[in-house]
Amino acid sequence: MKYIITIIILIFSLNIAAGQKPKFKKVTKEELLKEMSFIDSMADSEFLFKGCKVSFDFNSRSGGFDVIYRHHQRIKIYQNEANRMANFSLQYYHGGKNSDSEKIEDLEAYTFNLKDGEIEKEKLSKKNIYDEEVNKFYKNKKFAFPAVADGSVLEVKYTLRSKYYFNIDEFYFQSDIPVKYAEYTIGVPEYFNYTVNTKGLVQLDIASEKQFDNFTYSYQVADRSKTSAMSGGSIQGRQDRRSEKINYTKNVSIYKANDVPAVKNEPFVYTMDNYKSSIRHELLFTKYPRSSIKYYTKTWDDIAELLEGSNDFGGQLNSNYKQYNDLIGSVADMDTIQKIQTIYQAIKAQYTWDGYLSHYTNNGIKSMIKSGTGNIVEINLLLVNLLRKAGLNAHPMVSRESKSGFLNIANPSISQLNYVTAVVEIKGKYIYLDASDKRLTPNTLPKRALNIKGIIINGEKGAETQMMNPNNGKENRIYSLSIDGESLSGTYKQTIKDYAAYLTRNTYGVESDFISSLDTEKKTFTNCIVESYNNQSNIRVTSDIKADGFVQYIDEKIFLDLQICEENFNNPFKEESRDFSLFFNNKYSNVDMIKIKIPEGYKVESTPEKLNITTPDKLLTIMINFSVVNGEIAMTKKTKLSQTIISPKYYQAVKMVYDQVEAKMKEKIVLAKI
Amino acid sequence: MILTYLFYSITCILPIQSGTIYSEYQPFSKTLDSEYRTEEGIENNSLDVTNIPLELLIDAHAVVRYEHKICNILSKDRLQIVVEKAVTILSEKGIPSGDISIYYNGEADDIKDLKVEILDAKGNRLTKIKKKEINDVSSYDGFSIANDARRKTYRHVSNSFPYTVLLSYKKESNNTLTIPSWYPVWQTNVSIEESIYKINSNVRHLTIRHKSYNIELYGIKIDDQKNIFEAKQIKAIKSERKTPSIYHFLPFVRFSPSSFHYFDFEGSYTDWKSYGKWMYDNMLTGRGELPPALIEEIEQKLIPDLSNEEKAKIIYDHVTNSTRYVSVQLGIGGFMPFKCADVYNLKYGDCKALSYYTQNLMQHFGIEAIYTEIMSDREYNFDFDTELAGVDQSNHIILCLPNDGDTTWLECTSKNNPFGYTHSGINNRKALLIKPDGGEIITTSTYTAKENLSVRNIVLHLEENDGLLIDFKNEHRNLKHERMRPFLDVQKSKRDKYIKEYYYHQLASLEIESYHVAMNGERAVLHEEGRFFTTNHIEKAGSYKMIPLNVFTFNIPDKLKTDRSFPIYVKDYTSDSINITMEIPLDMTYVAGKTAIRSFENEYGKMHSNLIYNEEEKSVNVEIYFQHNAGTFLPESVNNYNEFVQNLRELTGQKLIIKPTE
Repeated sequence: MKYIITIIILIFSLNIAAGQKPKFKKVTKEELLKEMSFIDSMADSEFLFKGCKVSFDFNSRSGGFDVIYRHHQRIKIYQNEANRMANFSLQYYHGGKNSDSEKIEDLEAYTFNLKDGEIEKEKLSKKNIYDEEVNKFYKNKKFAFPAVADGSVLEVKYTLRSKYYFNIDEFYFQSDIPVKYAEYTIGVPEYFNYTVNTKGLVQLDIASEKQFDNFTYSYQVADRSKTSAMSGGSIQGRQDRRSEKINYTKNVSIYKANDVPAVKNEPFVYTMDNYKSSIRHELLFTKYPRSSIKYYTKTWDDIAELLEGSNDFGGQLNSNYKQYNDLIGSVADMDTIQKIQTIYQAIKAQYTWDGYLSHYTNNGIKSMIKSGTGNIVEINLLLVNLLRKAGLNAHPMVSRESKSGFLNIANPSISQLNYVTAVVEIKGKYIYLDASDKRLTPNTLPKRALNIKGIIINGEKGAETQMMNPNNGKENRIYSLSIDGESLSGTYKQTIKDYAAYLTRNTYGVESDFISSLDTEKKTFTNCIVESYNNQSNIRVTSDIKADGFVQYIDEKIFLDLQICEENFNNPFKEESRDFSLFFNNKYSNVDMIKIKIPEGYKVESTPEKLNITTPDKLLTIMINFSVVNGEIAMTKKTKLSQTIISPKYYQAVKMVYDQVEAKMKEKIVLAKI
Repeated sequence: MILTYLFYSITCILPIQSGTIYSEYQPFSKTLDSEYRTEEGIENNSLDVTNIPLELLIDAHAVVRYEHKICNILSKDRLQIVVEKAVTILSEKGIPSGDISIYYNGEADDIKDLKVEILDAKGNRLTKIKKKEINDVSSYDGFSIANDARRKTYRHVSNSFPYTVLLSYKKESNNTLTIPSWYPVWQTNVSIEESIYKINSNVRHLTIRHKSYNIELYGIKIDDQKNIFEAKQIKAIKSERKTPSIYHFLPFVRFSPSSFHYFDFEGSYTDWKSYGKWMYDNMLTGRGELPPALIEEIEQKLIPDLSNEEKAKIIYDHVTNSTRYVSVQLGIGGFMPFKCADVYNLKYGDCKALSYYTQNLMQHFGIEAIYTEIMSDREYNFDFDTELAGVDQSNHIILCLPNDGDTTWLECTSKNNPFGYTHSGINNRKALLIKPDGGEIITTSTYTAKENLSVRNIVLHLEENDGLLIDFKNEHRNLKHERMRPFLDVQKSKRDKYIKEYYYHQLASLEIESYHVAMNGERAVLHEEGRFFTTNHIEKAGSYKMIPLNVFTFNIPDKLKTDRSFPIYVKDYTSDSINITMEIPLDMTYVAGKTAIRSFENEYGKMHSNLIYNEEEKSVNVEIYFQHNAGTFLPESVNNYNEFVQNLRELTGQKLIIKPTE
């Protein structure tokens, strides 16, 4: 007996240590008295509980299952700056027919406060819940918790009913405030089989079991036995309504997380959502009674097959666009690079991207040819089609827009895909083409097209590919100066190549705006001549330059500032540490050279020591060198980034490179009287 | 001498002869229809791009070929706006000028006969935009959790330029409270070929007052008899920085009806007094009952023999600490505040609700408090127009406490605004008191340069390896306190990050050894104290070292381009006083720099600097003082502006130089 009691006590004490799902409206005095989060003592609020229970309810009207999401959240406000947490907005789909819309039901919210030692609760009144029509597809249910003050506990529950079971909404265990306890339960009927994707660094406690359930299915049956011979053999008979009780098993899984810290925002990422701990279910197959298995997705080959077989992808890709027969004929004798340039240029010139992303065409390529505008799929599939017709080994590559998050390679699904680019394979290497931006050159991609991986669609095969960011920029600047009293004056030459040229044209638009951008508070550029701004070649600039504030006369010496090429150089990496990789849009290799004529009667007393610093594996290298040649002091600064994705283990090294460069750029060259 | 720009204004009151009924109004565009339309639709080439006069193409990304707007007041509760517009887009930057963006109230307004067509360079029709391509979205104002504002939007994306966007629609409403203003020129880099606005009224005894601004400069014609306003051949304007608000120099006309219908309300007014009376009687009466529990909460905090100001402060603190700002603007709720009992229960409200709530509490305890309409804006001091009363001149409500001549202004929506501090969104402008006997224009208070002062006392210590320790004790008053407020208000766990980002350009490698910030007891004074450490601030020059004195950001403005058309605007007076002391290390010697003493003054402000080297104590002390003057200055004075900025940059960018002792 004693043993049993000990065991029972042990079990209870183990349960108390982990979090437990609270009962709605049963807020305790301890929760109201709590003064700060134990996860982060300086957080202005935290989720005491964040939970969702997902179940499938049989809908007799539609004859199928609805997915029911029962949400429950309990939030503690520590400081009044957390008022943003007290204003709620729930988005739901409300397009098309009423039966297609999602519905929010049973919304209840309370604010709990402690007044003179007693718990007071204030209920959210229905008249203070607003339904806002965002656009023809979405609505927002909005409300503000009443009576919120420091120390309040807010509690809300609501049910979302949806008929869409292909993708179960993503549930986040992590948020931008701490989460004390999060629980996600999902009960899936045996007819459905989902792949489960979890992501993030938070440890999840998982348990599963089988449960039993049933639903009643009613249907009409035409009773042929009741045909009336007298009515002349009419087939129509009495309609019978039958119903059947169907038993089924459910797979129920519970995911729990305790003491989840807030996700820390970091710069140089595509989106922080990539890193918040979450769970997502995607439908793999269904097997209804007396039916065979219907697979939805399994491999990228399946996705490729789906795309190829669709009128809105394969159908468009493989059609014949006779309007281009002449163009194809005209490139027949060109070499590979010229072929690509010509076709790519033609598509960019003739079509404008309408701003929409997808994995399917919208109105179709034929329609785009007429109207001149198309979505990302229409433009780049036509490009692939014509490249293939010209004899090149071209394919569409599907992926995901960078700010939508990483493509989840492990779980093939069509819903993740919303971007298409064209790739051409030449001797085992890929050239990337995206015709949605008229300023791009072959083998450069705009920021939105970047992702870690893509899938190359080749017939009904989908090949996973590491997306090798092709973007490479080069910029050289040469300042040839002489000292003129307190100013420096002379000439300036600049060459901007490849991706750097694209960025320049994209940023400034017209040439005159680019020229205006050269001037700073300390430097004036005059008689600017710019070559090739308005075409696709490298941009060249020559001009006169006058710079003030870089020369100081002290103690019969001349002090020259190094920041002529980059005023106010600052280390962009301020964080102490970093959890996630750094993402850059392009590699670059830049050289700045400053040459200053040594004035009569002076010699070089000292130059700063040279700096040659790199990260392990030479991902980022910066070299600053000084030399005195032919009566001129020269400073050369070379910066090279050789990789666009840098793992966090290199972060400290990157930060240190910039720290040292920042200090070096503040040093001066000293000239003394002979 | 500061010459300020005058508003060019014509006040006009146009009574319509009683007995005249406009039963058959002429839509204005019909007379022009024949020029542009044929029976089949737009066909002939008057919208051909080659018809645009050359001077209208200079600096233009788009050209408004015509904009014809008619406001038909059909009855006392039915208003109709008819719009026909053609905009030619010349280049990529002009695409937004062709945007369709029609605001309307989802509850009260209907948009009818909406037609959008795209024409090519010759003026021939390319496409007709289908109804389903035009989006209807809720017009999120950025802060309300509910409002009925909606918007029809469409942006045409085209492959080749130029092209012309044709738009026509009718908007009808039962609300006749506002007659839309006329803004013929309202974007930079857009030229105007023709813009015409006409107002027709079908209503007896209805007077439509109007007032026009800045029209002399643009050759605008006004026909007072027929209420027709016309602008033609206006060249594109380029944007310039630091101008006054465009209401100060672009032409526009405001209108005001003498009577109106709005949701379920009717009213009439002729001036601010009668406008204020209508507001008071219809919007502010009968909603002020205070829950007994609330009264008791306040009474418990009031000790006997408190002055009115002390009582007011207790009430104000109680309201701002127990409520929060939530905006709900539905229907008449755009003008009518929540009942006080509702604010008490919900513990939230918008500026109207919270001001009304505070006002009723003040009045209950014998303190005079007046509900005040104001145009809140932190960039400009927007004034109410003393001559034309109308409903669109305010966007915010505050309270005015006459306080026996020591007028106090209260911002009731913020916990972070000290009692009686007139913040930069509401200072120095004409506002409207809504009193029981009617409205009254009054000017809000503002602060002088001396009152908007930052004082910084800094001691610098050079550490080994060129590290720099910065000890500081700063005090910021009024407007300066407002700018530094985020340091106090930011969430404590985010404060260090905030400080490092704020000083990023001055002190990039910053370590915070200690930092305290608090309000100083006086009305709006913020006190800062602490110790920072930075490693990359000192500049090495051979064996010399240079220590820049700008250890804290001074927000020096940028210079302005010298080819300037519009005035230069500086909103508020501010001043800064900095005292920096640095000990010279024993093995180093101070090197005298170029100008130890500098002073400068012009219409934009003044400054001076004083450096004293104490040889005995081996320390240097630098005093810097500078002041910015507020005002609106002639564009020709831009060189003086740049000279002021240049001097200020040099003054604050001084560096102390030391070298090893020989």
